[in-house]
Amino acid sequence: MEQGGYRSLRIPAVLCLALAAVVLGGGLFWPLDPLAMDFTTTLAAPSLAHPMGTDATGRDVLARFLAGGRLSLLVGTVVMFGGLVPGALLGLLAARTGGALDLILMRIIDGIAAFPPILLAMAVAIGLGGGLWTAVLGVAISTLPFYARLMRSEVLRVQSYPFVEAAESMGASPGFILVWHIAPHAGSTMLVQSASVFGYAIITLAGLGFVGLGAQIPTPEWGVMITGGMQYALTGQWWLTIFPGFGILFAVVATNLLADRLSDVLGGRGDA
Amino acid sequence: MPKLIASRLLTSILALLGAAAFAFIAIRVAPGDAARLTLGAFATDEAIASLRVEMGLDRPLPVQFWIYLQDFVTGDWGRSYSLGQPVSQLLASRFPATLELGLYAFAMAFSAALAMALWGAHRQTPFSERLPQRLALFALGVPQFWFGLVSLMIGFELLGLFPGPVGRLPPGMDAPGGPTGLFTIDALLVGEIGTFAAAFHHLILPAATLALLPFGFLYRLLRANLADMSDASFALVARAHGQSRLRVLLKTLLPNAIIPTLTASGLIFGQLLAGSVLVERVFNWPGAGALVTQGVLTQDYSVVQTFILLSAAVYIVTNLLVDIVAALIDPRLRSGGLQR
Amino acid sequence: MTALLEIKELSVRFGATAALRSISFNFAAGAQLVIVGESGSGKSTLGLSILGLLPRTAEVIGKVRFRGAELPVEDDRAMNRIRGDSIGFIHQDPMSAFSPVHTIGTHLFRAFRANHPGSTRREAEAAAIRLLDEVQISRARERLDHYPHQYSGGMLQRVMIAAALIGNPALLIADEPTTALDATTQASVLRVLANSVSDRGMSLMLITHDLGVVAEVATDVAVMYGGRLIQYLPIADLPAAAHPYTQALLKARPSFGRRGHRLPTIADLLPAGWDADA
Ligand SMILES: Nc1ncnc2c1ncn2[C@@H]1O[C@H](COP(=O)(O)OP(=O)(O)O)[C@@H](O)[C@H]1O
Ligand SMILES: [Mg+2]
Repeated sequence: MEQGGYRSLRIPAVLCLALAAVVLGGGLFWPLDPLAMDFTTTLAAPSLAHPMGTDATGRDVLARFLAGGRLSLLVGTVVMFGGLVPGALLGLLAARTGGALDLILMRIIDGIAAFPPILLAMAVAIGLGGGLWTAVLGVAISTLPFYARLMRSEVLRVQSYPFVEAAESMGASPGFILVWHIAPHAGSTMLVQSASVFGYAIITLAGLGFVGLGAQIPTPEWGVMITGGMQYALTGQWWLTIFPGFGILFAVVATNLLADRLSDVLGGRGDA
Repeated sequence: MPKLIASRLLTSILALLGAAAFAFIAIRVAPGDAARLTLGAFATDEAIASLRVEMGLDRPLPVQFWIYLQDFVTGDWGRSYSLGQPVSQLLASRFPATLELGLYAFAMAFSAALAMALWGAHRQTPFSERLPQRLALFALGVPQFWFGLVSLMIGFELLGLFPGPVGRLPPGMDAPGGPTGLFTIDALLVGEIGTFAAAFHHLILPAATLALLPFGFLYRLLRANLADMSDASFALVARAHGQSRLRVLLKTLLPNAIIPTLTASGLIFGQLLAGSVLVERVFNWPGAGALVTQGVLTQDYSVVQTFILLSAAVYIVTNLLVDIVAALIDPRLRSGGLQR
Repeated sequence: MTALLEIKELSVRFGATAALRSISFNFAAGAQLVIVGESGSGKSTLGLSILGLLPRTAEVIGKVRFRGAELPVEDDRAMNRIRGDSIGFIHQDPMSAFSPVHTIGTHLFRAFRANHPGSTRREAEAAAIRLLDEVQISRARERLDHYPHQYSGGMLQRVMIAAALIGNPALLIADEPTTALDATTQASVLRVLANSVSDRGMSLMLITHDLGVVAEVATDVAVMYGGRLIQYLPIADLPAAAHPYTQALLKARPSFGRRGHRLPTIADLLPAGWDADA
């Protein structure tokens, strides 16, 4: 799109760094335990002692917010790479072997891609018995079509470059082509595009948490926090829902913006 | 043309098989016990044993898959133990509510995306480009269930402009008796204007919430398609004939940009179905999505499994239909000439 | 003779690129100007700046006067009345100059209506058929309902000529109208263009990088290089032209030096009315 160059990365990069600094650094300065209940101060409005208030069991919402943020960053990273590695291998395998295997692999990918991602993750989480990490696995599986299709088209594109065809015709081994031609080209595109998976993982996991399939109740996770606050949302205790929701919104918008700008600047070619 | 349709039909069937296989593997072959998943945690061992036989869980996997496919295709989707009804009946009775919500959400998403994409393309000012872009960024980044809650906190609790999370009609108001099950349409058909207004009023917040994701997606797609096209020589030539910028945008560029946008319908329907699972719970909307959430919470998974596989089928069938429609609209494909 | 078009110190920049550097010339009514110059020399930019259709990224300084009045390039509505009505335009790539989802008839009707407000569809259709006949598209009525992909490149270029003529402009700007076509088709398209222009007594600004075209139609020649107009002179003076760049261009066409001699083109060898693409 616009030729803003690397300067256009400044705002999203600052937002992402701010997110990481608050969430990771905040824990050092805010000593309260996200799981510690205190029945003397339940549902307290935001104050100096509890800047984000307390929940129905008197837990400090700020401490839970920070812990939820750390969990979101962790989950985003795990899904990003957890989907990237197998997805890229699948795409690479399909593109390099071609023929029947390519056809079969890509039809399986089509089948996976037919599910709305969050419902696919639900299916996996249900099949494997629920809980945070099965939900994470489900979300990671739902990114496979994105990664595999991207990798396949990247490999096919690189393979069709004249210098790669020339190297192949001069007897370069498949390993050589892979390391020296495919990996640098396809690798950078894959990394750039994987940035968009980060925000997707956070928001999807929060959605699963909301329907009870992600993190379970006492875990400080943003989606679960919103669910817990839902019954108080219309009775005046707004802080239980507003803060974790803003956390998700900020994290997802910041990382999506970074992903968009990165692919504009570095010219990744995502088709999803 | 027939050849094109035949080959698309074949890939669609393969994708359906793939989707069914995936759902089968995720739910049947995974370590959990499928019979227990269906009957819930409190079922007796006898009930589970008899269901295992009924579901064919004692047979080899390929046979199981075959039975699974047959049951799915014939609409034999089992029954919900907690509600005591066949899944097909449950889904059918809840479907109109979800359909009505989805239709309004789609209409909102599409008209907003279209208006903003056209506005940006026409005005080309920094403001007219950035405002819709930021709205789309927000729409794609905000958790829908949270937005729904916040819209209730503001629109209902704070301002009192909208009804609370009470479903499709105010408590005590009867559903309009009509043929479609879509309350706004039925109310108009039987001439109950008051019911129409109430039903419409109850639809606004949930439909707007559900519209967020498709709006962001459609806006970006339309904008990209329009941008691709506005450098096209045919726009320049039409301008050189003396046609106004707006006219060229609406009459020449838009029809060209709409066709590739149409191909995303399958994805949009998927987003609406998946979104309904989250949004209906927030608004106590008595649709199929709320049934799914309830199924998850009560560990009554028969409805959930069916809904998930149905959503994949909807996606695949929609894509097939869209491809055929696009081929009918696009003269290059229609006459069997150039392939894109 | 009054000047139809007066261009004074026209400069166009695209960011750091200077596409036109202070171009000035007067163009008499009825003249047939051929603009030559290698690709990137600013020919298309010149044509589009007269029409006021440069992209928004272009910075334009200078004046263009048409029939004695300055062109209102800032006022898009006023320019819409001039485009098509007074100044016609033919684009270089016929294959991308038509919207693929609209019929040829739709293109022509829209061009007609843009220049004849309040006209009926019947009038538009009659005009379209008359013009398609003029540019030698046979079975015109039937072909109105066809889509661009059903036409060949040469036919599309002739349709584009018809569409440009539909408002009966005083000046026709043709930007490399034959570059995208193969050699046989080039000749027939060029002949259609030349005939229509001379029948109507229109002025023509023909942009090309092929000097072979010059001899066919030109009364004047302008030579552009690097965004500058380096020569502007009547065709009769061209062989004696002193500018080294022009000389170099001419040397590329040795036959050109002999006045009165014209290479026969295939179009000349074909019987009149022969439709190369039908
Ligand atoms: N839309 C544009 N944006 C940026 N530069 C342009 C644009 N159009 C033309 N130019 C530049 O202006 C110069 C002249 O281009 P053009 O008028 O198209 O030349 P010609 O038609 O003689 O080939 C070239 O250097 C070209 O790169
Ligand atoms: Mg040019």
